[in-house]
Amino acid sequence: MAQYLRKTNKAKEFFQLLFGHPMGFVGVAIITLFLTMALFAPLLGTVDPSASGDVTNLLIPPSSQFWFGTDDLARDIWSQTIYGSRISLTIGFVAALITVFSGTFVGLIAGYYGKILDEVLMRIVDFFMMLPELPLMIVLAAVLGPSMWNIILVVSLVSWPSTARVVRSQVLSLKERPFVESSRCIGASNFQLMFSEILPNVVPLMFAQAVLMITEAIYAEAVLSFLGLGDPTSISWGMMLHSVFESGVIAESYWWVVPPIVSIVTLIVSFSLLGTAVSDILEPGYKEKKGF
Amino acid sequence: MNQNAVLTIENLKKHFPLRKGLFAALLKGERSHLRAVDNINFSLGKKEILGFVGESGCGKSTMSRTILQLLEPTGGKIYFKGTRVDTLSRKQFKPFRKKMQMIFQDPFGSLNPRRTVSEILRQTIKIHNLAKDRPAEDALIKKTLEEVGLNPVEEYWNKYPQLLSGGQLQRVSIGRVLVLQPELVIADESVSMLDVSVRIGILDLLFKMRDKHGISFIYITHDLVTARYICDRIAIMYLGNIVEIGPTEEIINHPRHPYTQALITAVPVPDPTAKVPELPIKGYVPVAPEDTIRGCSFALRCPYGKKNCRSEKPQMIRVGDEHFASCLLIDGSISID
Amino acid sequence: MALIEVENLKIYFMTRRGPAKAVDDIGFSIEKNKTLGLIGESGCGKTTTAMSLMKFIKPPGRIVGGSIRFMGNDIVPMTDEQIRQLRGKEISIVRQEAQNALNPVLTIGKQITEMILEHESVTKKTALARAKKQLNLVGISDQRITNFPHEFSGGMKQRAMAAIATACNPKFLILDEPTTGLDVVVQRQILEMLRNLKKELNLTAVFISHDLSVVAETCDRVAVMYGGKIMEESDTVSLYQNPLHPYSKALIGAYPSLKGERRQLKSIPGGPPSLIDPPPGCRFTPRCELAQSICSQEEPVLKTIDGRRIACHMVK
Repeated sequence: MAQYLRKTNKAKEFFQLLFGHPMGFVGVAIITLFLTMALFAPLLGTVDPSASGDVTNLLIPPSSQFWFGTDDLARDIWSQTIYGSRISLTIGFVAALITVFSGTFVGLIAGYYGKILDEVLMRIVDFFMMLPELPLMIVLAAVLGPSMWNIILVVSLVSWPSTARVVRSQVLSLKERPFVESSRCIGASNFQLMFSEILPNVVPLMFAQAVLMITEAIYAEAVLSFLGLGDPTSISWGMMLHSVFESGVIAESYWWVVPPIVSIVTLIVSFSLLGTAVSDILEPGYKEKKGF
Repeated sequence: MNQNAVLTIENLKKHFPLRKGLFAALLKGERSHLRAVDNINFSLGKKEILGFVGESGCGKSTMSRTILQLLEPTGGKIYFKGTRVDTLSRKQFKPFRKKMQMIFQDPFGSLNPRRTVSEILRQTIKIHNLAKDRPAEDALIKKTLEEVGLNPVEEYWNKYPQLLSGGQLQRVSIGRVLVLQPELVIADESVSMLDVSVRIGILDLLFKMRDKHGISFIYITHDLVTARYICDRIAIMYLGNIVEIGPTEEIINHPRHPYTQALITAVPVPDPTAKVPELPIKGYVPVAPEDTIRGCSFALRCPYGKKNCRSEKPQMIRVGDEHFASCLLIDGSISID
Repeated sequence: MALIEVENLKIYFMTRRGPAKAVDDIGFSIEKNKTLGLIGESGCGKTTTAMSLMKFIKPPGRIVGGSIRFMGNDIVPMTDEQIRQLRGKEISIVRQEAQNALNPVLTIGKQITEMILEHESVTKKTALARAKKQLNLVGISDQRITNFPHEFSGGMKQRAMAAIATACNPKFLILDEPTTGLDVVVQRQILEMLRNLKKELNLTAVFISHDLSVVAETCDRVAVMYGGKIMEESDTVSLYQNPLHPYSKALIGAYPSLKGERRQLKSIPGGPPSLIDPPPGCRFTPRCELAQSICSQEEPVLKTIDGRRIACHMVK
């Protein structure tokens, strides 16, 4: 019971700090907004975003019936914008999760064991980092075919090396710290040292990397969809931009262009703000500086 | 070898290879080594506190890590209560880990900043299966915290290291070691980073551990003054060698090696009326490993150095009861007054 | 007129739970060419006091009251620009482990000449000549003027810092634990160097340390601080031979020495007081052997007895 209470107190404290941080506050606010959009999509006055409508409703500017207007297939842009958040957030979170976990695992092992294992793993990482991200993603997406999972796979494949590298650097320096040595002296095994001692101290870095990966994933999805490599069955914001571009009426239909662009940019920025705030907060000493 | 000794060290060596340029290595054909620990011999009795005093770079920390198998010795033998331990595999050595422990220098760095005090102790208990279930673990943690003077226990249970003072942190580190019920503890500069007024409290705790649990200590420090307070015997180290060893008061009052004499002269005294001492030795003198292969390693700094000091290695000579020093000029010719 | 005069100085650190009264209404003065020692445990306010003499207090710390007079001028109301003129030129500082303050990519010579050229309008040639003199003054051969910091040992780096700090012949030097963490031989050399500097440059200084033996050797007067307050202030000899305040007595009693009998020492039980919520009355009361009820009700005022100041109800 005491453990549970302590942990909830810690969580409460964390959120207090987060909301006290100006960037954190804004970031969390915006993300909450988008999360609400994604979770409560059906309740927000939406219809099926991919349902094409009446021929008389093509390319209508914002009106009382269609809050954001319609596209060239008479689909409701408001609904597309709302439901698009689901795709962006899903891809963002899942790709970031895969990237961070795989990158951290590799970085942890390479950094801790060093020597040959480190050399081999780092050469693999170097190889991946050498490959140009965007062209690689384009090629892979084209080859694997358009689907949400393929996009997640492609983004993770391209992004995990930088996490591995960054985690490895921190592990290298943590490895030398006195508390690791003293735990080794107590008799902790390699496994315990890696996962019980070093890993918890890498978590702040993992958070920062995760947030970075989310923004990269959302951005990548937008680009790939815009280029036509996205999943045609689900209308993401990138897909919307692809459609408006293909239709040729981009100059006349601001209501079709603005919502997806604003959504993408705002979501990415909000995660960046959150990332900065969390990074600051998890830094040892921040709490005390803020007078806790 | 003394069967009653807790620890016996014979000819312990720890050398680190130095990287030389490609050409030098090709031409010379051999690598030069940093002889951090060079031929150390001593034995530690039960409930004895043996001090190792020397400046930074003399090898005392390397020696402590080599003894505890945190570093692999280059040569020599380490016996723990009669059993040879330096040749054991990692798995075979694990039960000995419990018996041979270390208290580190940096109270703030030695503890995982993401663990609370109780979690730190619990981890140690779990690694060696010292308690059968959670209530037993809690009881053991409580007992340990009380024993190291962190009372009331509730106040420290859930604290993270950032919120504790240096002295309190060292007590936690000591508790972590105590829970294993070791027989040998190496205290490596354990009070050097603490306020002087806090040191006595920690040293008294070490005394308590010795008296109550029969633990033998190796006390490593660069500070002769605290060594005098706590040690039964003191060994003076210089560049990887023991240059003098003997009972504490003997070393303090009748030092025979020029280096020991210089150290004692250099220590400031808390007495404003005392005369300010003149330092008899030169300060930092960069020494390359080649310079000390032959001859006494202290020769370059020694105020009494004679010609053969550079070519002949001194041996340990008995200069008193249990008191040994290694200097070619000993035989009554130097003393301090 | 004393070189430094501090009166009613209050420095608080603003925290969420209230202000931490790191320095709470202290006053002292330092005469020309004298050294004042500030001793006490970690957190007693000695470093904060020392830093304030150069107005080096960073938020959340703030000087909330009192005056600090350097040669008659109060530096507390000075602007950043005004105080910058003083730093390095009139008041300088040598800190603990100062080697970390050395720029690793500049030679020692460059760092000293930079200091000189920053504050005085002399030619580069003159500055270089003075830099060489500075090195000699701290006991380093002037041929090493082109060395980089990594070519120096720890003790030499500390001395290099002292050379930089005194390059402009400041009148006042703040020494913040300059020998803490150093080996005994190196410490001895640094102390010798400081003595030499003091003599050659006619320095006035404040010496902060928790090491009583070093303070005994270098200081003319000593102030004992506890919980942000001064408990006792007197000339060094009287303090060490006859400490009046129970805290001073306990500090000196907890101090081991190489000379004399190997005696039993007593550590001071308990820990330093909270600065946000200090104990009422005298701050040392919870740990004091002589404490009576008045001690926790009324804060003792500094009384002067025989040229010594002491804040204790129990000492008459």
